[in-house]
Amino acid sequence: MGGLASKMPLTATAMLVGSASIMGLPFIGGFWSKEGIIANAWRVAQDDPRFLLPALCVLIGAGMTGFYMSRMWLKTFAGKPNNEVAAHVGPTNTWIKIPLFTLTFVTLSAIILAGMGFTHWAPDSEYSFMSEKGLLEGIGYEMEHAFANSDSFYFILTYVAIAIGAVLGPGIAMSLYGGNLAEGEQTKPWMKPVIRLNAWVYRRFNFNNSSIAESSLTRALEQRLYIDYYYDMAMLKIVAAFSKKSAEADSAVIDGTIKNIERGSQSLSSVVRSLTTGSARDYILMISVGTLAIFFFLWGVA
Amino acid sequence: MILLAFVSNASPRVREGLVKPIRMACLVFSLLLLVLTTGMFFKYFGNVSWMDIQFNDYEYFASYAWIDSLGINWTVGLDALSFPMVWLTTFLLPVTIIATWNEKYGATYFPLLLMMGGALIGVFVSLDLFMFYVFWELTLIPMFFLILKWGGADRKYAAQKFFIYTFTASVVMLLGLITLYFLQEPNTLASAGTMTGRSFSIPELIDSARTANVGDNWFLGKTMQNILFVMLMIGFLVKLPAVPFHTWLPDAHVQAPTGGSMLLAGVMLKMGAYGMFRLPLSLFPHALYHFQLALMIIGMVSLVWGAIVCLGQTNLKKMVAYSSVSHMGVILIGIATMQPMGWAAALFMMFAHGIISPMLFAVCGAFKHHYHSMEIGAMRGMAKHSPWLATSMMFAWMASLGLPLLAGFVAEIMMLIALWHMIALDGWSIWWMVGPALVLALTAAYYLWSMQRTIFEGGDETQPPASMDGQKIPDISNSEKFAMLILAFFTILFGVMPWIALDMMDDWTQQIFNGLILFVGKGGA
Repeated sequence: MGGLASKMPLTATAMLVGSASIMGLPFIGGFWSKEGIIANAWRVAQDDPRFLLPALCVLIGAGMTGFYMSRMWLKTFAGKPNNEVAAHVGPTNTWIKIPLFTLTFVTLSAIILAGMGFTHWAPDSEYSFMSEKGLLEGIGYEMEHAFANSDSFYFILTYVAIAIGAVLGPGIAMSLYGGNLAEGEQTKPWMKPVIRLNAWVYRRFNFNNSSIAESSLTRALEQRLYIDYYYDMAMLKIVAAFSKKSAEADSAVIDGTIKNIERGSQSLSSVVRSLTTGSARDYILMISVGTLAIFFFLWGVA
Repeated sequence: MILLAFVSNASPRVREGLVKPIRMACLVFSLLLLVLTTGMFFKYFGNVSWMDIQFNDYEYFASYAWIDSLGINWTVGLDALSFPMVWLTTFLLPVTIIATWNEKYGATYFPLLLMMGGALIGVFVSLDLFMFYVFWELTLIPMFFLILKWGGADRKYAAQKFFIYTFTASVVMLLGLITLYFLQEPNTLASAGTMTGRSFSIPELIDSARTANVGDNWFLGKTMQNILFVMLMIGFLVKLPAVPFHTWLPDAHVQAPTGGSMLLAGVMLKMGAYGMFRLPLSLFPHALYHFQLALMIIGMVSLVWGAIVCLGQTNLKKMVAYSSVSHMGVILIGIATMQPMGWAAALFMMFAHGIISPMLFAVCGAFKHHYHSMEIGAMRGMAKHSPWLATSMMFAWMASLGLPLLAGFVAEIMMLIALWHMIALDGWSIWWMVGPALVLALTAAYYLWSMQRTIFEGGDETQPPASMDGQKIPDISNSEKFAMLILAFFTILFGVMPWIALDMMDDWTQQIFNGLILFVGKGGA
């Protein structure tokens, strides 16, 4: 794909807002939660040095999010179409537009939700004062809390997080992907600055990343670190084989024992049956032997 | 009513031309029974407070002298243990008849199903050891003929194996029952026989056992109680069936006709669990504690082994049969937890599996009927050709693997909680959780895998089984659809609103624990 910003304006807008929200661009949806998570991760790390690594990971993750979300948007919607299909895409149908519009609107208006105290929704007595504030007061409080924190550590942390998640990550993505739309293609005015910025960064800072792209790490990542491969092997080779053997054991050993008992009793009965000869002499012999046996038995008991 | 149900089931042999009227008559009759038991539920069982009914009290109790000299009475009654089973039987009869409506069976097929139902109801309502045993064996006869007459290629072997296997086990049980009979103190029970001075009456036996089983005092003495417990349990474990006595089941199921399988899995297996609750558990609580670990091990082995063997099956019906073995392991574990909730879980599992497994077998039967093949690897992408069958299959499979909001899930989660109670309160090792946890994954694996390999996959290139000979692939018939819908409806109903049946079961287990287990000085939460 590529260059779809001109062909699918609403989808591109929704995607732009959504990506920005996930990256934690200030004021919109994801920013408020991300900010809180990063601040709290570092708060814990300050008390307990074991949590420094997770707290660092949160920051690195923010940068990676910024990179991969922008990369996705830029490669899809900015630049020039790089295949025939992308060059002939039409707008989306009506039904999909409604949720796209609604969700975009809610994401953009997240600051209102923040002002209503949604970020302190958990039962936390420290923040019970939020419910007594009006909407504008609440927004003001949140803005102050986020961007002009009185604690210098959190003040710096906020801007470091924004710098990593919303500037550095997307910046690297912009230097690698995207660029101007094809000649003559126009897009909505709110997407123009993004694409123009992208084109400028692309021209100015583009660098060759083929050494990373062709490294063995990339190949491993393409294979999802071979987890599926080993999982398949474990499931198919070990579990399936084991269950096959179990099924065989079930019919051979457990059912086999039953069948052996059955066979034994059948052969025993055929031995017993051979006594039934049909000849009178045999029967008379048996009767006399039996009578004698009973006689001796009674004698013995007496 | 029950007498009537049983007597009128003995429909006469009729000529081929009468197949259709007989089929209709059987359906109407079974529907009448269903209406009757459902009416009983709404009129009485739905409103009654089960906590007011003591353990060993029965509703609709009736007792008539049968063979006076031996102390045999025609004693029937219902409690929260038997009523769900009776309702289940009457519910499955019309559903089975509808599901197999179009099969080319002779005139005796549907009456045999009814007779089977009559015998099953007889087992569940009888409160007299002699009567119980008579009905217990009576269930074998129609099933034997169902398998022998309309079974698959290997039907003779399967029918004989089924008959001899379960019969041998129940002879052991009979010996136990007769020992129990002769060990009574003569002329102490109200319904004692005039000649022998002993009685077959279950309520009276339970009463005398209950007065004897107090504290460390064992009814009939320690050794005898253990021996009798084992003898009775052998009969019930084979019927359940528990590993390693389960091998008659896959054979019987694979060869049996669909209707036979549905009743076999739906109700007949529950006879084993029902018998356990009715006799050994009620009479010999000390021995139950004595053998708790053994029962737990058998239950775990059934559960895990059944599931593992399922994964290795290539025949759809055999896989479903082994999944029944696995689910019966759940019942056994529920009993062995010795928690009221575990017992309630076992009761509900009996009920839920009684609705779900007929649907599983109805799906297998539809595969057999329409595709003439039940090999898992023989077909691909059947959902494209027969969406109804694929939907029913998916629903039944999901219900059986314990999807939340479907009936099977309720029983499974209750069993897990009861197991957890046992571990937490009675100091068992945490490792007992490993089996059920493993099986949850295995169950999902074998069901999803079999589904993937039969109705999905293949994309546009579907592959009908070779036995179809390139004919057009049909979907299931309307009567089958109807039966599936009914079963699916009740699976959802009892999954979303389990209390309809669970309330009475729960209270019954509370009662049995208050009235019995606590008497021997032990007991769960």
